[in-house]
Amino acid sequence: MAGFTTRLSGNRHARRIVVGSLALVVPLLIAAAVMNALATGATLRLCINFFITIVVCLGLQMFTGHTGIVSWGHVSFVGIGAYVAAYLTVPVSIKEELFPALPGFLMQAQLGLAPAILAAIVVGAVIAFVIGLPMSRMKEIAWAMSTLGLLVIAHGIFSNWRSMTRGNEGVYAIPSNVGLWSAAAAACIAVVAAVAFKHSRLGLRAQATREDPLASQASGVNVTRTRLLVWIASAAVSSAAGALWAQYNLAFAPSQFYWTQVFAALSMIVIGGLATVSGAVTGAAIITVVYEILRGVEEDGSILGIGVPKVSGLAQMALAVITLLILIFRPEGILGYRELEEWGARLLRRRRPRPPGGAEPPPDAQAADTASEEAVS
Amino acid sequence: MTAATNGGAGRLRAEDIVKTFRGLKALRGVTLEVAHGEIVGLIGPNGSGKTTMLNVISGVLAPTSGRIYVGEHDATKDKSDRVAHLGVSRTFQNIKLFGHLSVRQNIEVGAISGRHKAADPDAEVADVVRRFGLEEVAEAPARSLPYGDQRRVEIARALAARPDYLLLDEPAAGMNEQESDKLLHIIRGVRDEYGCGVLIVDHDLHLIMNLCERIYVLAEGQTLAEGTPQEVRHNQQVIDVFLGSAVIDEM
Repeated sequence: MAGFTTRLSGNRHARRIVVGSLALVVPLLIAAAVMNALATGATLRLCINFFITIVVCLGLQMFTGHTGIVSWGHVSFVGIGAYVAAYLTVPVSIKEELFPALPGFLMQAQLGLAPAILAAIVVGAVIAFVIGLPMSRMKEIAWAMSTLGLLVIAHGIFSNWRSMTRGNEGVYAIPSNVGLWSAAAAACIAVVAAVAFKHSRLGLRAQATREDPLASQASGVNVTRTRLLVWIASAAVSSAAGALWAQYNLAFAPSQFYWTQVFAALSMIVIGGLATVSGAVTGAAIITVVYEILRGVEEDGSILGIGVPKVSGLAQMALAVITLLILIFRPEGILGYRELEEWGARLLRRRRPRPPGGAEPPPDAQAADTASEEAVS
Repeated sequence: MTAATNGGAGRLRAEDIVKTFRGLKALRGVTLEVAHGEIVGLIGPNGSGKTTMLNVISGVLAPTSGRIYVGEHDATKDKSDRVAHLGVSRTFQNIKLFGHLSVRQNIEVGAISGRHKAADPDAEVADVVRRFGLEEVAEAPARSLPYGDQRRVEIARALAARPDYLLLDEPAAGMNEQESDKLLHIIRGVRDEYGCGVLIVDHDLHLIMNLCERIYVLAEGQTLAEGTPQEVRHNQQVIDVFLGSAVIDEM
């Protein structure tokens, strides 16, 4: 990995990738260990779902965060990944009944967790490439609109191509291949991939197109190709998330790759901060917890064990309100443009008492720092 | 001046450029040339087509007619990223930095996206950062820098691509005399150290007259005059266009 990333963009970046990854992977693994020791039943399920949600969010963040183009369509790639996983993992005898139109080589396939995810990545990337070719020639707004089209069309296909998807009756009998540790491992791999991507040449070029397409092109960046490559890479991550999720959830229907999921994933990355990997993870964590608490209110009429009146649709409404508040008061998200480790370094720098005379940071850097704070807030 | 009909090595040449915006003729057949290592000025009243000319040369706008040669290569139909790969970098009138990226990252985009795709971009970037005295602000977001520094970062980003030709669109806009003098030294240093040709558009006649070896004067989309600062200064047509002696005295 280190050799690969060095080739991608030099030593300084390799260090950033390692530090940036550790800042997220370590807390995630600690959380997994704690949950492994303490959690059972619903809490454990919540925790596994959280790790899978991280992968979903990172796929979306990879595209929308780097290019600045909102994608409503990444949830469709989650769906594609889920169907691919179903084709490859459902026991052969059941498969003949579920998907009569499945080609022979798929009908005979019976793969495990990792190969199914890899296959989903390949299929997702190929589909993203084909539909991305015309999309990448569009302007930003048109591209965003076309992802909306993708969402609706994909949902139409999932719901109506009955011989391949069983339509709205949904798919079942997927073997249970995902537990706490495999979900945590997948989340950690996705985090490392996302951080490495951000610091890669492609990632940097994509961020340049987000900041100023005209100037990036004049600097030699092929905007069309850059966006297409980011689209493909991010769709591959989303497809992997779908394959992972399918092998945990074991059954699913087309309605699970639609508006509710799009809204949830977009809210998470917007709340945490679109531009950063940490933001996607943070947003996923916050919303998972808030959602769970409010679902308790909706379903059991209790909040943290205390009885309250039941209100249905509360979780959705709360998510909408939180997203709106963030968009109004902190549009760049909670973390803004700084990763967790950058916030950490900043806090440490502030706390450290200044030595009398000498080793202060240069006035220019200080001025710039304050100015950047003003610019952000 | 050569009357060659194509570019030739070591030369950036725009030939008989016409640019029409919905019937409005912004450029009516402008020809100009920049040789390697030469600093050339492009001046003219507002609306004379200077920035349009720069946009056409850099591939941001396609000319309605005319040809552009970068060296031997016909770049008339090339988009701006291709033109950058041919060795033509530019800055913008209203600074266009990658605001949320650090100063270092801004420069790195130039280093990894230009035609050289530097084998060791880190070293290349560090070198440019040092030359432009940006070490202390290298990790700060570009948008947080004061105006003058942002101008420097934009020039640094353009140079990180190691261009043969550098196009500067009003680099001194909004600068006071002191800053503009500093800029003059930077641009001269760039030419001396990188050996690239520089085409500079500006309203700051003091800067242009002191910096440029050759000057083109545009008026209403046409070349009004061309020559050394001395020649241009005493050209009666130029004096008329710039409305009298006040401005010329300043020159």
